[in-house]
Amino acid sequence: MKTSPNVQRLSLTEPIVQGASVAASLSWLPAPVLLIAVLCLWAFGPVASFESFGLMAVNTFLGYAVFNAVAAALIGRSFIEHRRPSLLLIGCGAVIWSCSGLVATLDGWGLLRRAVDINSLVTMHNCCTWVASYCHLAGVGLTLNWRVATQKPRVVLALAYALAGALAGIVVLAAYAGWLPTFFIPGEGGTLVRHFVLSSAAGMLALTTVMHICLNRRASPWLRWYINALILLAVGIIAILVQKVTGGCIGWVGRGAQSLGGLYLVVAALLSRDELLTEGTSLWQALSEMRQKWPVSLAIAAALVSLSAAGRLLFLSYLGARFPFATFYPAVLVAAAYGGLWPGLAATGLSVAIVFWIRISADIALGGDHFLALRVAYFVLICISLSWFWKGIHQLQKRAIEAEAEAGYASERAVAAEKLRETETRLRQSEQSFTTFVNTANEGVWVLETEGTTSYLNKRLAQIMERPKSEVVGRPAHEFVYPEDRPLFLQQLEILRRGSVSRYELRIPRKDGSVTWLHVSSAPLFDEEQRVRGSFAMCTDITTRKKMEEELLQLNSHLEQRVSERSAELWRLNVELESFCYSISHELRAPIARLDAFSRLVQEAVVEGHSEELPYLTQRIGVASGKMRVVIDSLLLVNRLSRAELHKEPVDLSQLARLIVDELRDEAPGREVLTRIESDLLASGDRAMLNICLRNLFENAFKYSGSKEVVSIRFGFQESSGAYFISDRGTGFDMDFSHRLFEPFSRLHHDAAFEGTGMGLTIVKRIVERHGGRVWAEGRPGEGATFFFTLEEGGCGDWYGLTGGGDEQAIAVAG
Amino acid sequence: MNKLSLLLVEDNRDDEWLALRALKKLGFEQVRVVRDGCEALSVLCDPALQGDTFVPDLILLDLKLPKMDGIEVLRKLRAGAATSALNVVMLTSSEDPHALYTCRNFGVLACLQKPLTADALLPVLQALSRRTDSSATVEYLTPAAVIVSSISLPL
Repeated sequence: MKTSPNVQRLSLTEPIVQGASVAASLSWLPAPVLLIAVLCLWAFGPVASFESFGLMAVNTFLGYAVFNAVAAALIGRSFIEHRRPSLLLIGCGAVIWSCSGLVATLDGWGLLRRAVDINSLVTMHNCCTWVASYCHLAGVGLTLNWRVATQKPRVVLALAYALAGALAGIVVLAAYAGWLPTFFIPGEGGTLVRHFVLSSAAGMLALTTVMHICLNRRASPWLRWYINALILLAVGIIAILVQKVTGGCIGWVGRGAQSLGGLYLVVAALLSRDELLTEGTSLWQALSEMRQKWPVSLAIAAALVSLSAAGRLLFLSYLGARFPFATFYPAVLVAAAYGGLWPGLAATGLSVAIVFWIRISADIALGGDHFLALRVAYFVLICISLSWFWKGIHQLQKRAIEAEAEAGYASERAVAAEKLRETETRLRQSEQSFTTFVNTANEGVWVLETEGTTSYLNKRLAQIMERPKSEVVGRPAHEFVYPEDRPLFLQQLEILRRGSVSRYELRIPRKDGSVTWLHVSSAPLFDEEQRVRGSFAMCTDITTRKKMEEELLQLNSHLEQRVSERSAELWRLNVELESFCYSISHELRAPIARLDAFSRLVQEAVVEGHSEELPYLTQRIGVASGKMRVVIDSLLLVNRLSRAELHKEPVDLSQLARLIVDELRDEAPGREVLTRIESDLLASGDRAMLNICLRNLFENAFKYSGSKEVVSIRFGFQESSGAYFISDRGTGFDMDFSHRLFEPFSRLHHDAAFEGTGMGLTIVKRIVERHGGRVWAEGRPGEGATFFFTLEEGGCGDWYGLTGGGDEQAIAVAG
Repeated sequence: MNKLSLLLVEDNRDDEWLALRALKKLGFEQVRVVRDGCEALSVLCDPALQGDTFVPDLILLDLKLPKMDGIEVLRKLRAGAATSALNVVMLTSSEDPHALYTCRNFGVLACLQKPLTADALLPVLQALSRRTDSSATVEYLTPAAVIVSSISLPL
């Protein structure tokens, strides 16, 4: 179960964290109080001293060793989470301080047993303090933004803390081995070295504080506690520095301030874990970022100079007054390399000041230097040159970076330009395909402005309008619309202006006076602000469809007319048929009624004994039944003619007519018959039917010539009417009754004059009609009659072209 | 001996013979016969005769005649001022309802089936003589009074 200890730990530290956050704003209070106390004690210093090894031990152990160890542990924990090397350095500082505290405590215990060199203790402690303060300064110099990407922060932490411990051990070893210069002389107080070390330590802590304040405008609770801790430590160091005796009041205040600083560090470390996890950067990015900030550059310069000064002091006893600037060259070089001209110059100035301070402080001991002015001038010249050189290097670097950025920008621009070109090409291609599509479309495309002016039309529409594009573009569109359709067109434009889609049919006048029908499907076009800026119309030529519709309509009405005509015709035929039926019934009833009457008279004659009447009556019965048979036969013939299939073949009518005439002569011997038959009258028709037709006509001519002594019949072809004709010089007829000639059972002469069924001409008419021709007659009473007939509609003379000379035959037939 | 003067319009010899025989039976010795419609009209109302026209008491008119049929003759008679009131009996072997209806509308005394028989004509003659006796003027018989021999007209 891992969660429960977590919860427990949180519940334990949470109130402290809360309280610390609240108290952060007041944490600054003890530092100035203690500083004022130290200054007052130093100025009006009471000589009273209070030697207590127990209190000293408690102070060194608790205030130095324990507090700093706890702070180191807590900061280590924060490092594991945040992975910022600056935290690690702060932790290292705490470790070193803690180690020195621990050594001092142990030393204090040892002091009780045997006499220990006080100088070694002071040296060790002061050196550790200096190194620790250096760690703090380095921590702020490394920038809080740098995060390491390590996967094993615990290992890094352990290594760093081990290194810090080792460094502290080396310092302790050096101090106790006597490798370091004398720091403290009992009875006299601190040496120059101690003064420098402690004051530079206090200065570095103060510098760290200033830098933190400068770099972090909004101080978080942890940073407040940390800064105040650093201030308290600095105050403590100052107090230790100015104390004359170990057990003096100032010494105790200083030691108390240092312990309080240790406590503050613990609180700060506790809060550090709750810092927001901000985005981290790489070391080089962080460094170049820090270089832009002048306090950091200056702080680094100052730190380097103090390190050089410490080095120079270490070798003071060996070098004496010689080479006073020897250790300062690297400091200036690194400061200039890091920060450029101004940090370099600052380091130079600071170095010169420290060298003079060392000389003033140690002059008595070291003796005079006659070439000091030359040395200083040489140092300053070299350092200015170095700084200048590094400034140039920095500028080059900056330019290189700028050039790189410029190059990057240029390449980006080139890529962007390439992309733009590609996009343009695609756009052009798309536009091209659109143009092709519009121009090759079978539909007309018509683009109009809002007020109805044509802004574009495609090839097809120009073709439909029969006008060049230039004539239409820029002109009001309604000018090209059929005048009657203009109100409709303007109405549709109004609909489009309101933003609606419209579909309608429109007429466009053509040059030849006809119209083109268009089906128009149009939609409004909008601009970026959704206002109608025009319209787009697809126009389909539907003229053919319209024409077909009209034709269909006409055809329909024509069909209706034909149907009604046909109906009338059928009705007429029906009436005719009805009348024909009554005619037939009359024709059949009449002989039956006669038969009936005569047979009754026969009966009467037999009953009444008038046997002399019988021959006449029976003869009349025979006539009546014969008549009936003839009627029935003729009816059957008509029926057969109506139904029989027409077998068309070339027929020589002249030859046919001669044969018929010969037969008729045989039937009526003793009559003088004069015929004139045109030769080679060829026709196409049914031979059997045409035989019946001609026979009836010739019989007719014979019959009605019966009263004349000489029968004169002519058969020929009349070119003017395109009809065949048979004329006789017989009885003739009155033209008033010509319409009744061809009616069934109608006669123009009473039975007594000419025997017949009244069906002959009806049969002729039927045959002619079956051949698609027509028949008519002309005549005058007493002057003969002429019957005309054609076999094809419109005559047939042209077809055969046989109208030439007939052979006149005058055949006298002897009785 | 019947005193009524008759005109028979008939083209068929047999029918004429049979009609004359029936009329003889009824006492008509002298009957004028014509063979077609034109001849009938010329006898009855030819202007060339100048008042010497034949005015029969009764005309026996065959419906089907050559050239001009019975109905045409009847129409012409009714149209003429002098002949419009003549008594006509139609003779027919047809049963054409249209023709019979037309005849009736022209006010014929009767439509009789051919051949003419004495039995069929007798009631017509009786009705005619009754009317002639009772009134000085010969009135045209209303269609309701017409005796139609066994023919039902579709009205």
